[in-house]
Amino acid sequence: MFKKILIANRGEIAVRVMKACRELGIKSVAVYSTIDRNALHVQSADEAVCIGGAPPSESYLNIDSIIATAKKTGAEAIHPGYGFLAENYLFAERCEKEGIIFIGPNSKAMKLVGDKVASRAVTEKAGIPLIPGMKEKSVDPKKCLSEAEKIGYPVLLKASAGGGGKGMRVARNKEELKEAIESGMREAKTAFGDPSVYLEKYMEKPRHVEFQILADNHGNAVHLFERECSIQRRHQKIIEESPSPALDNNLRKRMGETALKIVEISKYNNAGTVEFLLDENKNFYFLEVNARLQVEHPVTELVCGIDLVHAQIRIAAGERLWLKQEQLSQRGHAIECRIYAEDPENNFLPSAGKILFMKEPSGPGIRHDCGVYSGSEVSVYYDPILSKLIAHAPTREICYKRIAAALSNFPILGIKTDIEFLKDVVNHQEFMAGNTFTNFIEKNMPGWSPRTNIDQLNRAIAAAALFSSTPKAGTSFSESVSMMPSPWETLGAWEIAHGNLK
Amino acid sequence: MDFEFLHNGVSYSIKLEKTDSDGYKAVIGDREIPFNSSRISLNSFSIIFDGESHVVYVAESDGALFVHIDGHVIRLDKSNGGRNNFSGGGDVFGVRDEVSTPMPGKIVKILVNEGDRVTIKQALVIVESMKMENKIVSPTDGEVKSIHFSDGDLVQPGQPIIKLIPAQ
Repeated sequence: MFKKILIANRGEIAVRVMKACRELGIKSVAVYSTIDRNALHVQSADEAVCIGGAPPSESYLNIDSIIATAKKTGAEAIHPGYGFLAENYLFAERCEKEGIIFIGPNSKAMKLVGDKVASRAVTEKAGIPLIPGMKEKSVDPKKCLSEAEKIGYPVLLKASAGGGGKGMRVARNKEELKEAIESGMREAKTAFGDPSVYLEKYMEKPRHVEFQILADNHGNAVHLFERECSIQRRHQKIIEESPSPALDNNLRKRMGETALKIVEISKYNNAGTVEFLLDENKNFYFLEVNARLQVEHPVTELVCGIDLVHAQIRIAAGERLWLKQEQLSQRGHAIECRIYAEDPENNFLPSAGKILFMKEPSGPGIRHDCGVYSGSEVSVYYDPILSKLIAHAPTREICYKRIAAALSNFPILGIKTDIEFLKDVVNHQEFMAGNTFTNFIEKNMPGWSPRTNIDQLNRAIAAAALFSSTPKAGTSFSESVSMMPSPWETLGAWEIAHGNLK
Repeated sequence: MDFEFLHNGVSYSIKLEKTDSDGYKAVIGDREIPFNSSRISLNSFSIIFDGESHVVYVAESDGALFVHIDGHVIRLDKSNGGRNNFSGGGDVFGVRDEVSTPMPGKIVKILVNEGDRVTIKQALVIVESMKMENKIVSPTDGEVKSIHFSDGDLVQPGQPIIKLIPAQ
């Protein structure tokens, strides 16, 4: 087993991986950018090294600096988290060359599945059902426009190197597509360094269902069932659950087997996710493989009772898979809500600033994977995810009630978040009924705004007056601490002891 | 003590009186709200309103108070003699001749030129923030008076990116 792992990421996922390292008796190394000196992941690691400036290109995407840090600190392996370098096969390849273990798939498999167009060709040959779309990626707007005519509108424009909804646009006609190509290619270039895009047929009301897989370095693989991730805004998931309300055991078995077949033909190893779209007639189509630990991995962990980060590390260290498919089962129900610094009243625009106060929810069946704390600065430079709230319960009904209750008792003050919005989604009749489709938010939550009543407003005003009437204690924590003289300040002249203190 | 707060552009005056050791009476407009409050921590109060028990969280920064009650976050801005503390521009706060961004970011592209006629909701600027592109739209019909940034510049909230001459 490894003695030391470098975590090439920040935020909640870096903290989560560091916790796993600590549990396994492995030392962790945090890397951070200049503005992340006070970030939680720096505090959660055994060692921490500043690797560059605030822009990701200078720090969290800086391959040379990260490799040099791994060598300098003696880390034998690198965990990339999600985002940043997680699905950059050049980084995985570089690690392989430098003799550092990359905790993720081998670079060849990553290159194959990461190239959405190449992976389509391979999977199509193996008889796996696909959504109609372009056979190759392109940087030529004219080519995209003529391909769109063949596929038929509406079409979905995707960044070839993409993920997380970046570069993704829906176009219902030629004019919309022209604009989508321009901005989509630009966003793809900024986010991934590669402007290539491709088009596929846009399905109006599908479900997004994905299968978690684990594969060792010796050709053994299992799937850990599905996650349904249909609740999305900006083509990015915000609520995920397992099991999916739409699957029966027969369909689950067929989709799981298809996922494992994709793992086999792409020679994929470590943890990964095979994404499918499921149409209203329960036909499923292969979408793509996410060659990383997913944001929503906790729902699978809770339902299957398996720690996926532990599994990733053990597999990367060369262990044979200790799990058999027939031993695995889904226990109860889990729902995850992603907590973002964003304004759901204003098109989910990101919201940066200081978290003046927050209190993490807790209780039976509640897990909170968090990357921030009271006093954290949320910067404009990185993805605005703050944390993930996950509930586990014996049934779906108790589960959504449990997460709704936790969301109502989860103050984050000072920046805008999606907490109230998420609470209204899980309390929505259609969500409770399991009618979760990818158009859920535009259909059920248009023009959302918080539903505060006059009593709540009056009571809030009373509390604000109460808070303001006691000015000394009414300042924020850090200020009030600095207002109190420290014992050293009242001690009179003093100096630090020099020399031998024994 | 008397306070005045702004919420969604509406001003609320409140008179707060202490009635006994942890009893208070708030008068907001013509409503009287008696309550019992005990401070739990710097940022939290246990408040009993008419028998209903609530934990209310409050934090403040630069005259903006954030109050968490019943799962809602309510922003209240301290008001100074009728002048408010809002610093934003654009369409949100009633200044309809400026375009600014609600969060810090980088200007990807200015979509208009000085002197251009624009219509309400027309995209004027694309700002990249947190790796996402966001369109900032015109708050009004009118004409572009001046442009204060170029493609690639970093911009802070409230800084006017574009000034407009609103149509009559």
